[in-house]
Amino acid sequence: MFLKWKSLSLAGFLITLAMACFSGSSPNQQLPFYQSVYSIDDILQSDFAGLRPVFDHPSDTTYILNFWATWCRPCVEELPYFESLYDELQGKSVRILLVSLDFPDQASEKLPAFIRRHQVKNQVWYLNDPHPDHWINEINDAWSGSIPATLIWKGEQKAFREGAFTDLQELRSFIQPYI
Amino acid sequence: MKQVLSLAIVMLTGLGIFIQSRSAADPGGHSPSVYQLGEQVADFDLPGVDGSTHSLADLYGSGAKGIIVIFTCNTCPVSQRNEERIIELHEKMVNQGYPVLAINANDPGKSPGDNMEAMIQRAENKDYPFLYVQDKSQETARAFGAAHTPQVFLLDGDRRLRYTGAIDDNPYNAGAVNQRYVEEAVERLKVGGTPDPAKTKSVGCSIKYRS
Repeated sequence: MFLKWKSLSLAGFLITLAMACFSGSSPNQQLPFYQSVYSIDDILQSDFAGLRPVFDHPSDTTYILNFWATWCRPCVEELPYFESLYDELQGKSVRILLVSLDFPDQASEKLPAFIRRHQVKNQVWYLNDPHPDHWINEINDAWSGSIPATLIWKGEQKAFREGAFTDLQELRSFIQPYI
Repeated sequence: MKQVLSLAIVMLTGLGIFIQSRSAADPGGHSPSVYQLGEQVADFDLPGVDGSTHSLADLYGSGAKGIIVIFTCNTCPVSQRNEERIIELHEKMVNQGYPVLAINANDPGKSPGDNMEAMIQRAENKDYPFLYVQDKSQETARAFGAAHTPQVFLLDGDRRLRYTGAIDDNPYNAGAVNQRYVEEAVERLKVGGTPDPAKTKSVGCSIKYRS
């Protein structure tokens, strides 16, 4: 019961975060979303300042952030492995975020269409921040900026991977020490 | 014995310096020994879409004061969004002695759209004013530690690496660029200065290395 409550509350964390930062205007209006997070079609959107609290959030939860884009073939190819994790890790204190680096002019149609077509279960977060040099090192110093890239952490322990996972087993081995 | 010892110390010190100079950050994570800022790069001879092979020496021989090496390709959507910018960069800089040398290092086996035939086609369609060469062996890309496309490596007149990273600060939207990193770096080199920033990062497609 406790576990169930906990996972529910964790599931609600991002929504709460979004609601807390949500300025109250309709998503159809011109939104000053910098430094805030809002949701359209179940996709959370923000600039890097909006994503940063996820990194700072102290907890015993494992976070898995996969950086991808619909235009990135190797990213799309490995997405099903992360979707498998969604099912496998149900009930565990794990948050998976698929952080999309799609082009701004494709984020409002191509990205949600992709998510609907593939029935993506993991939470998608559209990182709309035009200046990558300002945030790539904050995510990880070792990251060149190529995608896909995956970051996992739990408390102080973290691991980073640049490049696609070749199969689900390889992704499982990567996350295993943090689950 | 003393001589042997001091020789050993000299050798070990030399080895230490060598290791230190080659072990800094590797942007691609593909090789433990990639060129570092300030390091002189080895020349290479690569076939271009014009049917000739091209080396750095050829470019310097024809008057280049520096070379803007850009790893790019046909197929990466980020490269495609930067294509016009690369053309403009070359046209602006070539008369000042800093031509662009575009290198496609993607394995045509993994990415058929990047084979030489497709490269020739693209260069013709887009009327590339710069040299577009293929690094089929991927040795040059590995030596540079090139990780993704597009990615810039600016060389000075002495074949030394002086700037690495992004073309500018907005890879997705040419109309909203605030800072033109490469142009600024070239301006610094022209007056004998050091580019600042000398290293930036940007988002792009991973170079398709053969496994």
